[in-house]
Amino acid sequence: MRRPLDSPVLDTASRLLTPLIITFAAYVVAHGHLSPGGGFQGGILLAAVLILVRLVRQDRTWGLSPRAALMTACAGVALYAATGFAALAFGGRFLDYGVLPLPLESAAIRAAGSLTIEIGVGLGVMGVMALIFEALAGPLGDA
Amino acid sequence: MISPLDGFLLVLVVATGAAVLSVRGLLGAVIVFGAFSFFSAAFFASLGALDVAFTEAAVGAAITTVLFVTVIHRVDHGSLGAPRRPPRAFALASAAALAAVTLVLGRAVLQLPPVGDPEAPAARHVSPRYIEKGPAETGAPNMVTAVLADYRAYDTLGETVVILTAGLACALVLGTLGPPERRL
Repeated sequence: MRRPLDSPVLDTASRLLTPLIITFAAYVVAHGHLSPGGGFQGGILLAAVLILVRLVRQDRTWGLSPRAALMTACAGVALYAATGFAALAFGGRFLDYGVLPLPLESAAIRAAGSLTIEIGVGLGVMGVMALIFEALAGPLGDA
Repeated sequence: MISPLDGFLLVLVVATGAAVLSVRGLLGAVIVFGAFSFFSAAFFASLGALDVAFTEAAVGAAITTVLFVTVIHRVDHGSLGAPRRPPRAFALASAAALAAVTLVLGRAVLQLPPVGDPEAPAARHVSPRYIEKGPAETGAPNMVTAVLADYRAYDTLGETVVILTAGLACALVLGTLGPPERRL
């Protein structure tokens, strides 16, 4: 961790993998209703991309700073809670998305509500994992 | 009662678990621990718990291993010293306690209902309702998602807050968010 990894193999591999992992992460979050996966697993995959590029490029200016990672995590949890309070505001119970005034069938409204909180979970998990990595890795390449 | 594939994966899980303890050096132990997580994930997948297997593979085998390796690279190996051997009486007492717990747990496992038994107590409580009405009520054919993101969304909110708290605690202990000269 003390010196940059100046390897064309790692660089090329990470360049090839990054778009694939991001696409798969988006699929895992968006498709969690139908197939295994969801916000948690998708968030982990997004964090894995951030960590992969940080490890290979040893570049502190790339990716999320600790502060930005924390903001992302808080935004995710806030999105989750806001969905719950929105249901409360429209006369339902906390997180009872069925009452949200969307032009859809009732099951589809609930699916949209749970997709929203899955996105919140994904942002939260991605931010937290990136934050923990930044905390443990410390000033990479500076030493 | 147990398929050959499940048995094979279980043997690998136990073998890698034992190997973690016997491997010399932290880096080697962490790598073997990653293999342990991966075989656990394969075992979960073989049991049909795909969401759990996915999580175990992504968190246990991948991210956790990377975090361990990152920390091992940063700490000074010399400061750890050679592992001290515990006193003999302590080792014997530990072995006896472990054997007793293993016997009790093994006896309990024999009394568990078979995997997938529809008459098992756990399968007769709220599960039938989720299975019968879940897709129609929540629009989520994946019943794990229906439970996590809809029926039990309140619990999942709590879990997400727990994860956020863990990240915050990590950053606060290591001074990550403070001034650079106070970072660890």
